[in-house]
Amino acid sequence: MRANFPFKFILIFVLVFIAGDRLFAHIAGIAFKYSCLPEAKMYSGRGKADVLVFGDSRGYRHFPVMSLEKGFKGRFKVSNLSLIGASIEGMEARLFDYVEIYGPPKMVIVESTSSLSSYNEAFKEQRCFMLYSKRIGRIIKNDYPVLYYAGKVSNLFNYNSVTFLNALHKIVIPEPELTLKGVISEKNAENVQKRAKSFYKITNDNKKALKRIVELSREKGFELRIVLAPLLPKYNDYKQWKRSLEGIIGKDVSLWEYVSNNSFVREHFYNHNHLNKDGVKVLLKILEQDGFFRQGKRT
Amino acid sequence: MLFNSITFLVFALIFFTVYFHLKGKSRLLFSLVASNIFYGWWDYRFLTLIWISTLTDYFVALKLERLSEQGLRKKYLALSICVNLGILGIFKYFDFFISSFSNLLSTAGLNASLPLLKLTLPIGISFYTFQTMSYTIDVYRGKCETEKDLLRFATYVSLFPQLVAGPIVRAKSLLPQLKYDHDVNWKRIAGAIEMIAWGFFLKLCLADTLAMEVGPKFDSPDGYGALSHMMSAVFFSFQIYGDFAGYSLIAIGLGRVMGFDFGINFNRPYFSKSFNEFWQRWHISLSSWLRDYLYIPLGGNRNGTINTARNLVIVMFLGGLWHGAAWTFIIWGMLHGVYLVLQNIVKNYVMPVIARWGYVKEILPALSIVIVFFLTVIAWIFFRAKDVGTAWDIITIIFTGKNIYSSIVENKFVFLKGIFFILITLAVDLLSMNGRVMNYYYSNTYLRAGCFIVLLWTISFLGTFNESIFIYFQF
Repeated sequence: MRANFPFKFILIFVLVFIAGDRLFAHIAGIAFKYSCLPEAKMYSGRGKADVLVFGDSRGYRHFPVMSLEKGFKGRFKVSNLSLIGASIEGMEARLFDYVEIYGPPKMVIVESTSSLSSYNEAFKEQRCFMLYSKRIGRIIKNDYPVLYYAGKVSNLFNYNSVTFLNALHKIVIPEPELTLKGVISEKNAENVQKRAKSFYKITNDNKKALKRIVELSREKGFELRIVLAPLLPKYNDYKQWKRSLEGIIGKDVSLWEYVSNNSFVREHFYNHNHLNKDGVKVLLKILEQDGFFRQGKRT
Repeated sequence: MLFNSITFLVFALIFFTVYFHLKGKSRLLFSLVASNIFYGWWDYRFLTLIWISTLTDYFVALKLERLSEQGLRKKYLALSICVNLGILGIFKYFDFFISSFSNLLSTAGLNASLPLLKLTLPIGISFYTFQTMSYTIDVYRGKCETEKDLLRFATYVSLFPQLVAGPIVRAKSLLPQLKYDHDVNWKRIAGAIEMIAWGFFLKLCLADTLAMEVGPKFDSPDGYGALSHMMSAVFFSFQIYGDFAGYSLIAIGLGRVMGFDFGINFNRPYFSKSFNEFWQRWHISLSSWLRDYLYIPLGGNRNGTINTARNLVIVMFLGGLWHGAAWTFIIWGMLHGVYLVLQNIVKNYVMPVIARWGYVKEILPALSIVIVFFLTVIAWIFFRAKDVGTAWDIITIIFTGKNIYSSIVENKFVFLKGIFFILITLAVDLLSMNGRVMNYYYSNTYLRAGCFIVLLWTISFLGTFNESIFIYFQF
C-alpha cells in the first residue's frame, strides 16, 4: 500500500492548498478595512464612537444611528453594533473588544429583552472576526467546536458567511436605514397575543455576561443604559421578569423601560417584536421626552 | 449517516484504512458490517427489512437455479416480487392508498375513517428493494449467474456507498466485481476523490445554496409573485440536480476508491434535446431499470403508436410513484409520460414538415434544449410542492403573471451565490461535452490538481454547511 504512495505530490498539493487558503483569507480580511459594516469598521480600527448600541434585531432595528446622533444634537458619534439574533454573551465579547481597541466609550446602550434568552447561534456568522477577536473565537470554540477547528484548517472557511458577503457589499453600498417598513395585520396581531404565554427566559450565561458588562461600566467609568423596547403582546409574567433584570443590573444602572408602553398601538409594529419606521419615530420621541439624550444618570 | 457530516468523515477514514489491509472474505465481511453500521446509524431496526429482502432474493435465486419447471420458477419469482413490493407497499404506500381511498369515499358522500399505519419510511427502501428484485428477475431470465455466497450477495445489497440513494447497481455488474480484491491504485483513488469533491460541490454549493432561496417560496407561495416563482422553479431544477447528481458522484467515487465501478447516474441532463434523451441522462440507473423491467416487458414501442403511448404513460406513472407516495410525484411522472408521448407525435408528424425550413433546422438543437428544460421545470414544480393545490397555485401565479415585479430575492447574497454556482455547473457540463478539452484535462496532472485545489477553496469559502439531508434519501 505504501510502495506507490505519491507522497511528494500530496505534500506539494497540501502546501499549495494551505498557502493559497491563507493568502485568500488574508486578502478577504483586507476588505474589512474598506467596508462600512459597523463591526468591520470596529475591528479594522475605524470604529471609534462616543455612544455604542448593543442588542439583537431589536437593537438593530430600533436605534438608527443618524436619529440617535440627531437626538444627541451632534455631540456624540454613535455606532450601532447590534447583531440580529445576538445573545448578551456575544454583545459582551464585542464590548470588551471595543474597549480593548479604543478604550471606554462615553455611553453604552444595551437593548436586552429577547437577547437575554438567546444562545450564541448568531455568532456562527461572525466567524470572520475570529482572527481579530479572541473572545469571538472562544465563543465559537466552546459552542461550535467543529466550525472552530474547520476554520483552523481552512482560514477561508472563516469567511464563509453572509456577514462577510455583507461586509463586501458595504464597501460599495453604505449602511442603509435599518428600520422596517410595513404594519402587522390585525389577524397576526391577534394570533401573537394568543400565543404570548411567558416572557423571555433569562439564561444563566447571559445573566453572567450582563453582570460582567455592568462591572466593566463601573470599572471603566462609562455610562450604561439598559433599554427595553416595546413589544406588541402583553405578558402576564413581565413584571416578575423585570424584577429579575433589576436584580442583575443593580440600582446604579439606568433602566429605560417601554415594553408595555401605552403610546404604541398595532400600527406602530412591523411584527410582534419589532417596531416599524413610524413606531421607531414614536420611540425616539418618547426617549427624548424622557431625557434619554441628556448625558448623566437618570433621576 | 449523511455523506456531508463529520460522523461520515470519521467513518470513511476508519473504513478505508482497515478495508485495504484486508483480503478476500474478511474484506467482504468488514464491508458488510461497516455498511450495516452505516445504515443502522440512522435506525438499526430497519436493517431487518434489508435482511428480509436480501435473504428472500438469495434463497429464491438459488431455488430458481435448481428448478427447471417453468410454473414453479414463476411462483418463486412471484414470491420474491411480492416480498419486495410488499415491504415497499406496507412502509411506503399503504397510508397513501388508504387515505386516497378514504378521500374518494368522502367525495362520494361516505364518511369512512380508515385506519392508517403511520410507519416511518425507511431510508433508501425503494433503492435496495429494486436492486435485489432486479437480481432475481435477471436470474429467472438467465441473464445473471446465481450467487451462491451469501456473504458476497449480502455485501452487494447493502454496500454503503449506494445503499440509501443509489445508483441502483445491477447484480450482473457488481457481483463479479466483488469476487476480486481490488488493490490500492493511487491513480484510480485520485480520480475517485476528484469525483467525490465535485459531488460535494454540487451538494454543498449548488443544491444547499439554492435550497435556501427555493424553500420559502414553495412553502408559502402566496407571498411571492410570478417572476419570483419562475426563478424558484428554475432554482429547484438545479437544486435537485445538484443534490442527486452530487450524491451519486459521491457514491460512485466512494465505490471507485474501493475498486468498484457503479457506472454513471447523470450525464448533463439539462442539455437534452428530447425527453428520451433526458431520461437517458437523468437518474440513469432508475430509468434503465424501468426500461428493462417494465417498459420492454409491457411491449415497449413494438406494438404501434397507441400501445407505445400507453406503455410510456404507465412506466412514467410508476416512475413517479416510485419517488414518493403522493399525488405530486404521480403527476410529475405522468407529465413526463405525456411529454414523451407528445414528443413522439411531434417527431413523427411535425418534424418532417419543419425539417424543410432551413433556418429552423439550424436553431432546432438549441431550441429543443430550451423547450425540454422549460417543460422539465414545470414538472419539477409538482415534484417540489407539498401538495397538488400548492403546485397549481404556483403555476397559476406564474402563468397569470400575478405580482410579477414583486421582489424575487429572498436573500441577495444567497441568490447571487446560487446564480454563480448554476453558471459554474453549466460551464463544467458544457466543457465536459468537448472531447478535446477533456482529453487535455485528463492528460495534464498539474491542471487537474490545480482545478481540484480551486474546487476545495470554493467549497470552503462558499459552500453551505448545514448538514442538510439529501432529497433522494426520502425515496
